[in-house]
Amino acid sequence: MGEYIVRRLLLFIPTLLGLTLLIFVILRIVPGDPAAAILSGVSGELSYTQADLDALRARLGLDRPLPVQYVSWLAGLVTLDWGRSLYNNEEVFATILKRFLLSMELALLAWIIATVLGICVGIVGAIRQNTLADYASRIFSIVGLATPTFWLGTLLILFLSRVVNWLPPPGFKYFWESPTENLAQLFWPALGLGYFLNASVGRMTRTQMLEVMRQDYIRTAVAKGLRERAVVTRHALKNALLPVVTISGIQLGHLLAGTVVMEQIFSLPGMGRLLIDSINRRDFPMTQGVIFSIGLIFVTMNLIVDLIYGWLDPRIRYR
Amino acid sequence: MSGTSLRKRHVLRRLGTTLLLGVVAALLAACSAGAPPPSGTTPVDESPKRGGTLKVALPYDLTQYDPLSGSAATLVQLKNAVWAGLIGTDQQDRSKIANQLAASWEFNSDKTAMSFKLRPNLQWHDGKPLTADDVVYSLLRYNAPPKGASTGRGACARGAMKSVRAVDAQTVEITLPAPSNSFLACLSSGFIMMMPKHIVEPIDQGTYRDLDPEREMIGSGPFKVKAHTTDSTWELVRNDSYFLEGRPYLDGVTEYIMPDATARIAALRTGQVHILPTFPSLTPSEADDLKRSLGDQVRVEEYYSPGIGRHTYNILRPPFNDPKLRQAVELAIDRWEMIDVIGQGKGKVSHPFDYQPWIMPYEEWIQKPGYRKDKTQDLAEARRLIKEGGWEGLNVTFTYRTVADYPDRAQLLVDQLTKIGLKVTLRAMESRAGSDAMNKGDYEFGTVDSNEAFGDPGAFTSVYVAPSNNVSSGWQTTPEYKQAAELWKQQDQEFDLNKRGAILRQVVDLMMRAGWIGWNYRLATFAAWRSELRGYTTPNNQNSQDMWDQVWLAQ
Repeated sequence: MGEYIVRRLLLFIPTLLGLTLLIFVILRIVPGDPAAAILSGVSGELSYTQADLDALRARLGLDRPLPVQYVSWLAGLVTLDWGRSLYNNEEVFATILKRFLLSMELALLAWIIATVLGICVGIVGAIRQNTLADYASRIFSIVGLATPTFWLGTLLILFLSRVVNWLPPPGFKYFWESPTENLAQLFWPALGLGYFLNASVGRMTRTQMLEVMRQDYIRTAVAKGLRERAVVTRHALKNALLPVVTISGIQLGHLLAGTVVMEQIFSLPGMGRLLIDSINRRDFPMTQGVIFSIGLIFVTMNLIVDLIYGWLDPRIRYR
Repeated sequence: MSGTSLRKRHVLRRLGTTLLLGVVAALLAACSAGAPPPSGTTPVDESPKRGGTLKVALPYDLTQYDPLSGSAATLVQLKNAVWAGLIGTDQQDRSKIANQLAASWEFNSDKTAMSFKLRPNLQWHDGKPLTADDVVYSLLRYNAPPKGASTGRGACARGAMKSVRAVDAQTVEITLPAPSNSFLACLSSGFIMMMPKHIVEPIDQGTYRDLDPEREMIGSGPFKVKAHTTDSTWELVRNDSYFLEGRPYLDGVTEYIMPDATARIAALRTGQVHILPTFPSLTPSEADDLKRSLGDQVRVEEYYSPGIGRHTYNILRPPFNDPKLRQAVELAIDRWEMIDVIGQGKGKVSHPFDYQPWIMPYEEWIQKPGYRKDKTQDLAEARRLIKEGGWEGLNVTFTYRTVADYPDRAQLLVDQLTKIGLKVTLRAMESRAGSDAMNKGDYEFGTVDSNEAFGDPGAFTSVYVAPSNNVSSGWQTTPEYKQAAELWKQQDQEFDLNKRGAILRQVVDLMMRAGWIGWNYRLATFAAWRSELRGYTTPNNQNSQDMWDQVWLAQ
């Protein structure tokens, strides 16, 4: 297992290097000069002179050759000096860390909802195959998958404000500042995201459960008189969960980058919103930092899934 | 019934019950924080009440904290609550200039110099005295910004002053290179704010950087910054040493950043915020819905902010280097249809100086070819020009950014120009990329909107005549430009309103003759606030100040 972990860890380095190069190059190819963006204002309506532009480019370090900018960014990544926002001078690393905590919490909540909901729906579908309960659970999942999150989020807001006359408290409080307020703020967007994501978990669980339930050892377990709950939860579910773990792990990675719509609708200052805003503003250091962080999370999630795989199925680590 | 199916049912029931209990528990927990606000009509009581925290919804956060650089018009209210100007907008009658830090001011006889007497015992939020030195330093900073700093909407003051000096600790004297009509209006803009020298001087002397929002946003306005969470919240508390005695009435102001329009409206509906931003405005149907469903719990006012919807032709390259083609397009564009479709009938045809009827009344403007309601004659003439130029079936490309109502405008343009035999290819661009393309002249014709930074024609200097703006359109290469630029200087020095108006009409005529620009429409703006907020007046100008020092909460 140790050798397997080292092997997987070593693959990390070239992946991350490739990622940094890709981020850096793509941002420079995209049209839109950050200095011009700052000078021309939010709607691009302000005028400026070439001298203004040159002075600002020099201040922001955008006049340096691209390889120099890349190497200096790379060196900063290693020393955790990820630079400062071109706009408000905020430290990129500290900002991302703050935003990450919010997005991580939202993603985790949504992931828990999606996984619990998905597994339950999958089990129901498998145990009651081709019955009304099966059809209902499948429709429930598919509707979630087919509903765009921006629409679901908007519906949630409208439902809460028009029917309940209540909304999650505005602003944002971290869990340690006010646990109830924090949960009230995050539950609804997490519910929307979780509902959206439960379909793939549910369908995968159902398919796997159906397959496993037909295995000889399940028949043996039933034949030797085990209670059905024990057969389902202890024997069938554990073995059916392997691909579900993979899907769930990847979903968590996706969630961290995919919370942007819900963050926007529920006014949460998370990482998704930070990414969209910094791309729109052409805030290079911030955009680079956020995309790199998301990439890092993805790679890490893949690594964790691989390691769990290796733990669940020993054959994998000896390949 | 077999034992297996009973057990199956048992497992399912347990699963279902657990899930249901979980969902109910989560719903209860999620709804437990904060109770719904009391509903009902607020009793009318016009005498100001002290206390309470005003809650304001903002569409986005400040991207730059230094007032020198900030350009977001909708956020001027946040900055003006913290920083005061020398003079500003009267909070009750927004068309008037009012004293802020200045107790009085006067011009010299030839109007090339003015002196401002400061109010006594002025203080910064950190308790340090505010003196003429601070005012001089702030004004010089606008006049010649530190290297590497952008100038935002306070650009009207850039290079506008010949000298600024402190006569004594209470008096500031500004000398202008020539008499100027617009300078006073420029100074009253919400974007010209006085800054503490002890905070900004050290910043300016090194490599320029933005302010730290929690430590360095020190002003002299009615509220002090208590806390800021980027993209989430601004917490402001009353400044007890504010220069207007007894003000502000509120204990504080909390501004929530809410990027989603539905969420903002929902927050007003449930009483989580007292007021919505005026930009982006509510749509007419949203405004109607609020009025209908909340009745007297909410006030919705319709007004026109001076946003100028316009489009620009690149006259340096084909096909719009031909003035007749530009003329045909201008005649074919139906501004009234755009207002009906995009603004649900609530809007006006854009007019270069809509806020100054003494230059050209709106009624006169909408009689002009292209701008009038009846399109019969205009379309016939446009078709004739197209035929004469041999442009039937010509494909023209319209560049626009995918923001605001630009995409709707572009779609309508396709229909309207088809009527005269042109084909329009739409080139939709992401906002920054679109701005870049327009600035670099990489377009045939496209959309650019602009706003008045203050209530004087001088506000449009950068839009219409600045040598550095609209360069890509080719405007500066036309013979009309030189004349227009000269006339623009003259109008600023002409203090007779009729004569000034006549000069400005000539400028408009020259711009129309050069044909690099066309005006579209201006949609109605809807301000909405809860009725417990009292003393609020809608801004006549998107950039006029909301200092929140005149408002109070009835509940």
